[in-house]
Amino acid sequence: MSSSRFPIPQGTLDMLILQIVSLEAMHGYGIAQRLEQISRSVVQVNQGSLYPALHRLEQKRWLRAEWKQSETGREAKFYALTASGREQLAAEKDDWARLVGAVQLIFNEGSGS
Amino acid sequence: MKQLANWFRRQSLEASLDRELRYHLERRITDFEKAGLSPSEARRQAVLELGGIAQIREEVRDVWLTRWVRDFMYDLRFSVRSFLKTPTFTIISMLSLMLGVGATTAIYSLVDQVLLHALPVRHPERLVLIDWRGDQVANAFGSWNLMSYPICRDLDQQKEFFDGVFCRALTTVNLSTGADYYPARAEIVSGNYFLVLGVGATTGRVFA
Repeated sequence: MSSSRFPIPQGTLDMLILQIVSLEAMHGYGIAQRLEQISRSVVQVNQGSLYPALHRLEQKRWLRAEWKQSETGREAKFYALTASGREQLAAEKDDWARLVGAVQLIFNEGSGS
Repeated sequence: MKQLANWFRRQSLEASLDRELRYHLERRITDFEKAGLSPSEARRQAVLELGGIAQIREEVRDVWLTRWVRDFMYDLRFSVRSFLKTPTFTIISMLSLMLGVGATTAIYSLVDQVLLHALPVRHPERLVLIDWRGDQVANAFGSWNLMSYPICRDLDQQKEFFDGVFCRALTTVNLSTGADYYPARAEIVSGNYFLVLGVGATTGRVFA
């Protein structure tokens, strides 16, 4: 099974984090769990790169962080999407769709001939 | 700018990151324990999964403050400390540096004035000074090294060597504004002064 999992493409982790957080504010552990669930058996997310990415997004003001009580009753750092983060997510989704479309076009071209 | 602010609040940033990572680890250890692992094995697995806490910390620090800025700040702090440890050496080296920089600046200002800044006239590179070494005839102003106006006028009239020749003499005059008098530096010049130099007056009129 692990042979069918490939490492997450460079630069898409930020986009995935923004997408997950856009649904509700989450702490790092929750985001890791969600990434694991969604991508199970398809992509492999290195948990070590999650926290640097979160801090990078916070520094760019695409995420806003806040210490709040978590579901276990202890305080955890929750990340939420900011207005500029929402714009960034929309822009990245757009770029992604265009890239996928372009790659698909090239594949279709090859099989058509 | 934000990065520099991060340098000054790095202690609270570090504490917050510690808390965040600890929360993650403890949740993960509980997960593994629920899955049936022994406490020590659960901890081992959780840490392994994150891929090294120290490495994460270092990567997050790089986000807060670019590596070279961080290194520079550490170097700066180290040098300030070393200087404070040996005040005599510091003072002597600072004094020598000050003297060296001061002397260089002074020489440079001189070169700058004399060589690099030409006179603000139309063709400063074509300007020459004709001097007349004569005898002193009296003790009053203008009584030595005299060049008579007729000679100056004759020089101006020739067209073989110079485009124009004017004469000038430095002097001091009294300027009055109402009842007050101020000494001022002035120049007595011949009529073609502005024409030959190719400059105008800052205010007022010039003779044509």
